[in-house]
Amino acid sequence: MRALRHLLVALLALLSLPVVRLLSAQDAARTGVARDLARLGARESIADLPVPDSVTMGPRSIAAGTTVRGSVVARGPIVVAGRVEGAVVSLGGDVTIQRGGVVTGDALSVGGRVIADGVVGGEIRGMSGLPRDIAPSASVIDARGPAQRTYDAMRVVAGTFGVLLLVALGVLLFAGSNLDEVVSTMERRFGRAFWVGLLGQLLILPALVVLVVALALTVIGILLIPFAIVAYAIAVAGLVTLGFLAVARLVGGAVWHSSRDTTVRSRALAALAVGLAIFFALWLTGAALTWSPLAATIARAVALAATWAAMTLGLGSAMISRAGTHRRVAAGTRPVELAAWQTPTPLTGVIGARRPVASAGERA
Amino acid sequence: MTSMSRALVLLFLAIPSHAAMAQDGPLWRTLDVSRQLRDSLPKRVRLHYDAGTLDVRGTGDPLLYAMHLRYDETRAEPIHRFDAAEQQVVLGLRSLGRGMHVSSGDDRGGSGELTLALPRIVPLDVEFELGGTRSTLELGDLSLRSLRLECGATDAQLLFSRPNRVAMREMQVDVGAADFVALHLANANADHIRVRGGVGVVDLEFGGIWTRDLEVTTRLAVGKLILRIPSDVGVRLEVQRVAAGFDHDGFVKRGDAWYSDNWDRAPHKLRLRAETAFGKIEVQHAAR
Repeated sequence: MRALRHLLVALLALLSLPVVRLLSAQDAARTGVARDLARLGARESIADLPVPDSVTMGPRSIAAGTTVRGSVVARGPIVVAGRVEGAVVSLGGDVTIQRGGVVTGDALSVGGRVIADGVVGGEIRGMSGLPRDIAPSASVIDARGPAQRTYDAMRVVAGTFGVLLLVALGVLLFAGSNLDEVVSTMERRFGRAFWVGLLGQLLILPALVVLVVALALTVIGILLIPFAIVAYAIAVAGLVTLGFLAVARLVGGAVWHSSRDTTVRSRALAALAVGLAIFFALWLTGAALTWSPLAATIARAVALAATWAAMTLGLGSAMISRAGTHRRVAAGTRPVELAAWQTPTPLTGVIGARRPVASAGERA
Repeated sequence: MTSMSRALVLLFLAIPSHAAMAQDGPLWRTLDVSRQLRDSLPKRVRLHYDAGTLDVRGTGDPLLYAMHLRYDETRAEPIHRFDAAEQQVVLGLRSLGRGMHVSSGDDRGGSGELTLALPRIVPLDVEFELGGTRSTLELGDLSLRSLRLECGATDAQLLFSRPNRVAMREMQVDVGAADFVALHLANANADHIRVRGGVGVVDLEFGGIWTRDLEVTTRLAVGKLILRIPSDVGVRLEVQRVAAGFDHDGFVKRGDAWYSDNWDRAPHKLRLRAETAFGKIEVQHAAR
């Protein structure tokens, strides 16, 4: 008796397996339909889509003389001989609107065709497949885990830092005196440099527009417009970079004191590297907090504000000193270094000078 | 090794190496989209297409538009909007900001393409904004009220094989670095045609059925302007050039302009104002 009961239970279990498999397959299909409906709503602007349970899993036919209110979606071909007040969507089959059939909304076939002998109030669309993602760029970001996103963000910051260090090195090697002059201008005219930088930022675009309009007045000028725009962009980028590097050097020099036995150029390089590192530490903090969106936003806002202030100040200094070529700007405020043979007077510095005359013994 | 050299070495070592970002391969999709014609009210049609092969023609089917698209979904998304209140259609393909390509060796399936059919009976104001495309625009037998064509680096052919059904107020063509050919321009049925070019060859052929005099303004920066004019059409040509060649055989100068020999007796007249900086203006008289 017990053996018979066990046999019955085993038989029931065996028989129920296909049913369970069928149910799970239906669940999967429903999940797929739900995803497809979400895509249709988001990317194809199909309104009044039915809930997944109302999607026909196979062919669907709207008979002549019947009216369906709301959109019709089927995983299979759809034939409309009656009236559909909404859209008709076939996922994987043709949509046929027969003569006399009416669809007030869109008629859409994914993986099939739309044959419209009847009336379609909306758009007729046949597509090879549904759009891949609801929001491709967002899905790419979401696909990465927080650790990966943090690593990627830090890598971008580190890479930018590296490139800027290379640029800084080039500036030091080839335009060191210009950088010195911009730093000097910044030290002497700090407040003015900031306001000039702010004004410069506001005038960047209007100045470009004026330049382009002026060139557009003549045929030859029109030819020069692309070159002028590129030259203008390079000039602005150069000024901003030079200014930012000057700020970085000033900040770095203030917090890092190199030993006196190193060369002037080494000290400048060390100050520049430290200054850049300080600014990039702010950005790196923001990148390291990528896993926490709120904290990352705050950190990046701080970094952005600091960088903007530095760029504004730097741009102003670079503009005042004409990219470090206008020596007199800073020189005018420096203490006058008098030659040994000059005679200073209290009023204007030097009003007269007498060359030292070699004594008779020296002449000999 | 000096401290400067040490710093240099350290700097180069500090630069992180970046692996090239792996790019997804193209994912080609096709889309056929159309809309049935409900009325014959004038419509405004705008087409935006950045890269690929473009073909535009008229259709006698009762459709407001029918567009076939083949595109790389990873780089672009289709545009198809109809604003019934404004009577405006916007069609084409919008780049997703990763650049677009026409074709390459490994794109598993060729190039992007767009085919557009427009109704012949509906009065249309049409604007085309094209990037780097190979375009054939067969606009004959349509009812164009105005046409504006903006091309970037385009190899474009504009063709009016049959007369435009309505009078065109204005036709304006702006080409960047392009080879642009316009054929049977008399069929455009336009009062005024403006063509502006940057660099390249602009070839304007004024064949077709002449029903009115035509005024044409061309402005080309660098390149060659070819004007092919039927021999029975009188031509008045004003040329402004900086360093451009102009062969004025068959023309007589009167005042500031050059006139063709048949100007006084020609049944239809073409008034041309050509402005160019560097290049050549070539006028060819073609028999009908």
